[in-house]
Amino acid sequence: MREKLANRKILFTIGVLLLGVLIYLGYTRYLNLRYMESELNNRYENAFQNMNTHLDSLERELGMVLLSTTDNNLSTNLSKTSRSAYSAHESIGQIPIASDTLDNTKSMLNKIMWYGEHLDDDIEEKEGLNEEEIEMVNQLKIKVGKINQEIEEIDNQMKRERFSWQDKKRVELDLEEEDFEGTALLGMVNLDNNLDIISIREEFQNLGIEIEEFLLQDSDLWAEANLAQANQQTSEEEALERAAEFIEKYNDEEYQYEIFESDETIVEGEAVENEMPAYAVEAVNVNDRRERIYVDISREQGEIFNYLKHRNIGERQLEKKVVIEDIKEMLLDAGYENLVITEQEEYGDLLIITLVPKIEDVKIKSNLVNVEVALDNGEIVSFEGNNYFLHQEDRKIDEYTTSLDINEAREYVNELLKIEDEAKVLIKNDNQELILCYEFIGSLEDDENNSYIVRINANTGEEKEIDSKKEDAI
Amino acid sequence: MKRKVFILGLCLVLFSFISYSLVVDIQHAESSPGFWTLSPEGQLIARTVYTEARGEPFVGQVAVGAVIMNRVRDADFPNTISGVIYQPWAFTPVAYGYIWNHIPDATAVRATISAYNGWDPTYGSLYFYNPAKVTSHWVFSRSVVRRIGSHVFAR
Repeated sequence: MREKLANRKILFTIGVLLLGVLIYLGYTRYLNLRYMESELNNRYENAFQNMNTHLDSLERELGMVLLSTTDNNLSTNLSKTSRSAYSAHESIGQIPIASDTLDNTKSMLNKIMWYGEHLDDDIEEKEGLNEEEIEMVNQLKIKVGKINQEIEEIDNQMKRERFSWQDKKRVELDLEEEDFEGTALLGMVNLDNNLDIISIREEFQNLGIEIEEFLLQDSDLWAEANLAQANQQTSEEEALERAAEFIEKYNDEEYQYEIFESDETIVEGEAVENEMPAYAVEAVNVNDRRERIYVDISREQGEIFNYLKHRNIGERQLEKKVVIEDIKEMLLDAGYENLVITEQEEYGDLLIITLVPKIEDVKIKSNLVNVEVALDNGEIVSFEGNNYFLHQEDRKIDEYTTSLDINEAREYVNELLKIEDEAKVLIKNDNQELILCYEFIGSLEDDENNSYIVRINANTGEEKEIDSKKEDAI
Repeated sequence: MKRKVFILGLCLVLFSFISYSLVVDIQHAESSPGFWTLSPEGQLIARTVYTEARGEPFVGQVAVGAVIMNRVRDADFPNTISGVIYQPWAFTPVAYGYIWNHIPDATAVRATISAYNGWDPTYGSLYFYNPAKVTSHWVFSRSVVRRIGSHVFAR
């Protein structure tokens, strides 16, 4: 009896101890969770406040642009406006709202960022801003000022409501949503909806600037390309035949072919039309089904946009040499003409070679084609020519003339650059303008690890771009 | 007897709780040595590609990487790779921290390199989703470009 009682006591004590440990661990987790929620809220709040700060700076800097009388000050202040617009845009990206909300605000910031760079670029050529440009900057300043006022009110409301960001998950700011009705978030929706982005676009058009052309995104270009391809001349059977012929010429294995992308995709039980400018062909190696080749054939001309072979890449064989002529022959077969190599970069067992078309003596930089070579046997495992086909117009170089020859252009290059290579190139700047330049590639004294590119306008001698090649390394 | 069962049950609950708290869930898949040669940004893309598209065909993994790169260039998204990937709730595996539980395999690493260097089988897509798992239906309003594996890519 006594022994039984003692056992019970022991069990009871163990139970109490275990319960204590459980409560302790649970409480510790609860505290950690609260700490993390608070930390998360602080981060979101910080992003929101950063957006406010950058918008505030932007308003002041646009004012400073209006007051600048010397080119130096003007250039500095224009750079500052671009930087603040960039930072405000970046801060919006860190607030837990859906990607496609506050579009007007993001669009306006993007336009200011672009316009600041555009004006800064032109300062040397025309000394200061003209009346229309001053008016444009003033209009932008007024709009940013209004946003600032409203954001301040929204911020106050958030504080009064003890608004918390941490429980917001990809908030879709849409007037039809009721989740945030009567909250500070409604203020953000109204702010964005009331932002008159159309008038900004019209103001730019009054200045003779079709801003949409400058701000075209890749997605827009592809949407246009898709429309152009709608008048398809290549049938599915022809595309399949073309892909099979191409694959068999450059591969020894036996493949099964399939067009695995039709014109439609089924989403939620409904057929939705695809906006794809190409037929996608998949080839499966019948002896090793893990090996696959994907080829995209354009619907209009039957060109090969993409060739992507997936296979195991073995150990690198140093004695295998990459035969450049083989690469050019394969690309020519796929529809790419007059290509020359501009860059080579190794990524583990892959060598990535960038080529551009060279017409007469001009390299068309916007038409680049990338090729991947497996270093185990020197095989070309993939290439992509999206830019080559997307920017075909750029290859019409007849209208471009030069006032300077390459020797004269070299005089404009800083003497600290040890020039290793030079060429005449057609580049597209951020504003999508094509500019004929002389390109000088080299390194600084005592710093041979970094390579720099300097581009000199072939007509004015102006230094158009300085770039570092290392920035591109992944 | 009942008390013994109760205490045993309590012990089991406690054991499970402690195990769950202490065990670090790092799964070592067939990781690629190439992964560690990537830059920090490259590793971040590879982790996102791997966790978003593991089990998808190779071209589908390149496509996920291409969407990340397209977003970096697009005006409606942050301007940097880390800004795009860490954008709140943009990528579910990032939001839940799954990207840190796995080391990407050789396929994901190669897909990352290809996407970073310009391969884009999605033709400028900015979104992708698995129609069977969508929780936010606004994405259906975007123009569909194509389907690769279980993902639909849209602009």
